[in-house]
Amino acid sequence: MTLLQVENLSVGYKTKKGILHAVNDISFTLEQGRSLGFVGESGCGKTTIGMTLMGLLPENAVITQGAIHFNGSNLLHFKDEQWRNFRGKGISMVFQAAMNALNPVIRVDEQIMEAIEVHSPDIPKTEIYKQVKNLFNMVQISEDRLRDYPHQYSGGMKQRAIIAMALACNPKLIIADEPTTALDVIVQDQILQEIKKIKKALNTSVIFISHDIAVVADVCEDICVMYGGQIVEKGKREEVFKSPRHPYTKTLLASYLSLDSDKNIKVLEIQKPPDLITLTGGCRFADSCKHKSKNCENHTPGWVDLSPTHQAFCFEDILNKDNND
Amino acid sequence: MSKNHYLARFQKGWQIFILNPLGKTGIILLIVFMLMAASSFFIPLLDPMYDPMTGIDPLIKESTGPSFHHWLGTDNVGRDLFAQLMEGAKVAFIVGLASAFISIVLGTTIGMISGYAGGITDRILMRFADIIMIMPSLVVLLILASLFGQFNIWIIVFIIAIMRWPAVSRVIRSQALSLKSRPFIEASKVAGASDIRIIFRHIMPNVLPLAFLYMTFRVTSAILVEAALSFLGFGDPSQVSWGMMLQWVWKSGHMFQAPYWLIPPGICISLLTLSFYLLGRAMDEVLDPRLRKEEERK
Repeated sequence: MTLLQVENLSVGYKTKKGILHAVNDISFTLEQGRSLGFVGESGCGKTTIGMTLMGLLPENAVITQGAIHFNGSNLLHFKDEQWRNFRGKGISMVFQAAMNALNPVIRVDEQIMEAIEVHSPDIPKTEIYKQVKNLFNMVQISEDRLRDYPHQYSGGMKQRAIIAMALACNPKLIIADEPTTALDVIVQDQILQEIKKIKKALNTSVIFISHDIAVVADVCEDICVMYGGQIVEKGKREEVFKSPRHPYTKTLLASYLSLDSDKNIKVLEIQKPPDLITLTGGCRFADSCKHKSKNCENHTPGWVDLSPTHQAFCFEDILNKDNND
Repeated sequence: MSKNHYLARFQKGWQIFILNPLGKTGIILLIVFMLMAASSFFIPLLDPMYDPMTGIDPLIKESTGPSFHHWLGTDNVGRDLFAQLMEGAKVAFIVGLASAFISIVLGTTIGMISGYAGGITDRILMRFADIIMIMPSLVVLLILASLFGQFNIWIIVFIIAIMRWPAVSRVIRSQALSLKSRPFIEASKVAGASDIRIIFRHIMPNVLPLAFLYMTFRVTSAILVEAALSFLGFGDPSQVSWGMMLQWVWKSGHMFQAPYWLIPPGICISLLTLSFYLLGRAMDEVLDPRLRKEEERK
């Protein structure tokens, strides 16, 4: 069953120089219970997608086109009141800055209770408290830490508490925006296993936003690679990571450090990222692409099917040429 | 969640408060003044001549120094100064707390809304606050008093409150501005909380220590403004207050003749304002868990 379908979504930010096209003509679908990862360098529009799905874009943002169908309703037609009821229940989010995502002067249990309370004010408090305890068991924080203040928690515990809060109303989809970036690798691994376990147990869908390829490869079944506000390659995890086809995906994966490839690391040459305000026609990656041709500068590339589930946003001749060398 | 829970919370806060030397000094001073204010209800019952306003010792025709019947002496018409001082404590509490409370409620609410809403709401509210803030409250009160005659004490309280909220709302607004961009606000938005809920549930507890700190400053400034107004002769003439006592000393020409009349109200004004200030500092620590040195887990 298709849970989320995003069609031709474009989001821009109004700036003094004009509209900055942060997300451009993006389409993807997500099935119930599956996980989708967005990878790409900073500024490629990953977080903007997450914020659009939550309806929490800043005031200067404009959605120029597209539709988001979630469970049968178009989110872009939602009014404030509908958004409020929807957030937390339909989609909830785990934030980048988990360290500060808890209110420092309110006890942790009260904050998690609140997340349940706003959606179902009729449930008696004792019942809610039972649910909070269950959530804490699920994310493996011991019950005697329930009444602590956030500053008494370690970073990993805070992140667990945030996950518990995101799970409080049984959302159908959780958006995790760089949830492990600030954590050390051991805690990071624990949290990732936690997310995978919960996803399996509750049949929740997960959208994972990260610049860390290892993290995304660990958690996600489907991958979208983004560059300059566009998706450039999408497919199953194995397809994208084992046989990348788009030149950008290749460079991105080549720049990733791993023990057995330390001899020929090709760090992505530092190029100016594409100017997203004055868009020219043609491929946005053209300037950094080693297979650049005249075609790339003047014509917008299109989607090329590589397998039923694997697509790349490029020109067919380049994909073929690239594959051969 | 029950009453017990709040009781336990209060006891815990109280322990932190009382261990703080500032808090201890403040609370002791405050208790002394509260006893003074409370005693003002009973003194006139002893003998009608101890009524601070109307009681006159029939044997005394001029200001006299301390004696057995009049511990602090009497004023020039034979009213008991001790009774007046006690009455003054009561009035100082009423004026200080009432006007500070009104201005804090106003200032905090407006500041939080202004900072959180931003945009045009923020601009309108803050320009309005600016207009009031630049008016010197004592001068405005003096002009109003000379235009409309002498005010009732409650009107004075209200005007002081109205004049004093903008500074509070400015500070609270700046706090709200920085708070609203903190991730936990976004997190509660994600959980589906409404704007009203975010303002009063998430922003308010974070600005409350500051609001209380400012409340203590407002108490002190309200007491001082009322004293100044009374001393200048624009207070409520039907109400004894410390400022009024000072005005009477001055008007009756006893400034240098009767130190027993001049000094006590002056000292009381300073000590009461000091005690509220100390209280505010200690309160800060109770309300903000991050300021505590250590805390055992339950």
